[in-house]
Amino acid sequence: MKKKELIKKIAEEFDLDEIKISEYFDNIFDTLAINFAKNKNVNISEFGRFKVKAKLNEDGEKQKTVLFSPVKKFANDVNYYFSELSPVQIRILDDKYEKIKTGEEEYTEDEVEEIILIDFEEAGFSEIEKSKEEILIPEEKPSEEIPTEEKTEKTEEEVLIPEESKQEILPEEIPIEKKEEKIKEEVLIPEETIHEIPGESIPEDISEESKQKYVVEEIPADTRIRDVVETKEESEVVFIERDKIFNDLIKIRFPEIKFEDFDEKIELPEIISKDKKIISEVVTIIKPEIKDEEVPFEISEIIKKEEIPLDISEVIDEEEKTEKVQEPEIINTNEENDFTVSSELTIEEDKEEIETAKTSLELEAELLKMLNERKKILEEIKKLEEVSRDDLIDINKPKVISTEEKPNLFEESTLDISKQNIFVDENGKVFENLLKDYTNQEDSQKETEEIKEIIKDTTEEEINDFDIKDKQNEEIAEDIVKEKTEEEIIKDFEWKESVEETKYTDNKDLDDLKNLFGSIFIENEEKIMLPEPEEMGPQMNNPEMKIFDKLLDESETPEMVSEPSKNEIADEKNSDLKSFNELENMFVNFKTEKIEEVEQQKERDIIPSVDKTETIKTYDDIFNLLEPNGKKNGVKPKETIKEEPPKKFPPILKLIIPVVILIIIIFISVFLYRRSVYKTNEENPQTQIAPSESTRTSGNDSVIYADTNKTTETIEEDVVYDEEGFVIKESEKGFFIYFGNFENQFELAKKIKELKQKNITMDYEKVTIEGKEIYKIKAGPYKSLREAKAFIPKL
Amino acid sequence: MNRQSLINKVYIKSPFGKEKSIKIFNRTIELLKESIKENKRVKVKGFGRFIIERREMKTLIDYNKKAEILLPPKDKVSFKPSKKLIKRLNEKE
Repeated sequence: MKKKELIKKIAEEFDLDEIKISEYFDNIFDTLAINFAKNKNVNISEFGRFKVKAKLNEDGEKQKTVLFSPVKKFANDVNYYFSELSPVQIRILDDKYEKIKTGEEEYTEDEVEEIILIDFEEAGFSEIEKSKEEILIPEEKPSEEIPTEEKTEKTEEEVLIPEESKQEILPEEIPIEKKEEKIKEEVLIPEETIHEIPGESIPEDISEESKQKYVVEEIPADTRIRDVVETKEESEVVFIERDKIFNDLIKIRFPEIKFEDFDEKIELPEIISKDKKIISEVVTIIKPEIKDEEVPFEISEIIKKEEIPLDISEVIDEEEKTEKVQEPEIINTNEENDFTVSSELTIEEDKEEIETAKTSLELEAELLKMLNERKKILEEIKKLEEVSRDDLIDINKPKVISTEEKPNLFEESTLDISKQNIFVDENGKVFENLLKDYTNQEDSQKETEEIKEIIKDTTEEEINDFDIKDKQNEEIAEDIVKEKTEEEIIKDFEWKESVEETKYTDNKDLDDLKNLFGSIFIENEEKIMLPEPEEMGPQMNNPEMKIFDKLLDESETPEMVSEPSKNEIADEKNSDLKSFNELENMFVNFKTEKIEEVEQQKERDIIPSVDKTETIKTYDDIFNLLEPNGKKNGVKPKETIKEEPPKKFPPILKLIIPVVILIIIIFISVFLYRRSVYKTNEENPQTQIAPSESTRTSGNDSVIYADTNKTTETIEEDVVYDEEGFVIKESEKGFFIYFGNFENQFELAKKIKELKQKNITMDYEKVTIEGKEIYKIKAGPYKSLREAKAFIPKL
Repeated sequence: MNRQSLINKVYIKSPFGKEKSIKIFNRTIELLKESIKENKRVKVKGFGRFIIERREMKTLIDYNKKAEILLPPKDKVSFKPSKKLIKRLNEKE
């Protein structure tokens, strides 16, 4: 950039003539040059400092030049590439270093490596040869064993160069990390390439193609990375063996698999998938304790634990041997021998098939597929396990309840409850399906059997119409379920109501029941007092109300409404009487039903009770409902043991604790504040007294600094004279005059200057009066009081 | 010599008002800084040129610590006065 461009820019911004600005511009630099000619340094804030200095010329003559040193901020802005770098200590110099300088000794190989790694060759800096010379590297190159990746890592760690700086400095050249990534990308071939390989083709042709895909540059160990770049441009490519690449590929693709166990797993999985039964049988032979249900899915794990070789015959032979050794009398049965024969034959056949039919490349592809499948299956199993652990709970085997107290509770009651469908939702719905799923498989089997029977009846009539059959079966099944639910709901509700009514009565005897049902007709007010079901639908009314509904249906006959007359009034009375007689019959039937139910309940001894208001959202709620309480006995609800409320802090403590904490905090804060104040007074009593610039420039300031330390020493002094602001004190050294109350340091410095010109030896002290810092000058020492008094007018 | 005194001296000779001259002065120095950062080379005729020089990496020996220290590279701003200016400085003596 030149001067003209600068001027143009400014002229465009300020809308001025370029000539005027150029004059202004010249004016600035002229004034600067004039100042330089006068040997004046120039400080321009936010830019830098120009300094005039004499230097030796090339010819050896003295010559003035101007040096420029920028401001820190400006220098950092310029140096933004390397701003984060800091000097690094390479190594500590021993006696060996001096000997090496002279040439007596040489570095060992390890030391040479360390030194060479410090080269910034990889970092992309220019002029490496200079640094080499300065670091005193011998000409030997690093040993062959060091791979290239380790080099780069070490250099980055030691030199601490940020990555941004590298990229910014040399955007054209590819940094080293990227090169390495490219090499890795070539190794990471996607799945499609592998699946593209046809199984029928000849393996030799494919191997060459695959080699070209698996191309990896093998870097000779001697060459440095700069040399590698050159080789890459020349496209010198070296092939690596295919097996190594394949192993690496699997390592990268499937990091979960341990590489040690890889060879075993390659051969096993297919056999497992085909012949699970055989291996389960083998396991039963090996471990007779394990049942067929408990055989885990991952048979490979068992095989690892047991360390079974592939030839199962060997294992069995060993077992036979052991058995013979332990119990020679017992002869092996024929059944076991049958198993062995069958397992051996199948496995050997499979092996031969694999070896003959499939080439090595096909194996690769198939193995990868197998591994993928296995991975998917494992994931599914994990998911199922998680679900089963977290969500599902065995209702038949709850953990909470002790079996000793009520052993038969859950074995019977849960089953009954499932049939009776006690579990009610917020909206009055019933958890039928859940219980069917988890409690009784027998019920579901029965249902299926019933459905099958129904289907058979239908199928005999319509044998040929298969499509219609299936539809009908579904419809029939749905109808059965619906009918059952509707019927069961009504039954359950009746049962529940009976249970709730018993709550209001102290005892569940029949006399009380009579009183209760008698009171319904005599006093309707009590009925209002009973709690009505809030969240029930229209179907879920009281059974009592149903009776009224029946009565209303009878009363609202068309004859009654259509023809009102005197005779009819009498008929109405008769009809009322009739209806009343019917009512009595109804109640008799109802009582008998009740008595039967009560007897059944006595047989069970336990009746779980459910509050309608309680919502069931989780399985824990169900358990809470099923837990034994006083209500379940039903006979004595008042004797339920009230749980004592948990112990709580009395209210006084609730107030006292925070107050105490507050007081402690206040004490601590006050203590810390006092301590800090004391420390500050103790540490720097007179560091703040640093005199102003005027005193600094005056030559003999060092005396003041030296004497200030003396004032801190406590000297016993007695006041002898006190007049007109001048105080004379006596001490061991002599008499001193104290005068002046200087709050400002600048005034103090002025006074000291005056006194120095008069050649008066003096000192100053800092005194704190009412929190203010005041400086007092102390002149002396004088031998006697008279001398001191005579000196006062001079001050 | 401070910045303000330089501005005053320039303002006396300039045809602009004081506020404007201060603005132009500040703007010129800002532009100088920016151009030095961007272009790494600014030339002012009759005065000199500002150049960014890169000091390469260095190894030093600290004899107090008995250690060899590596200094990182650094970009420095350096001012090289022109021949005219050097003449002007040395003639008046």
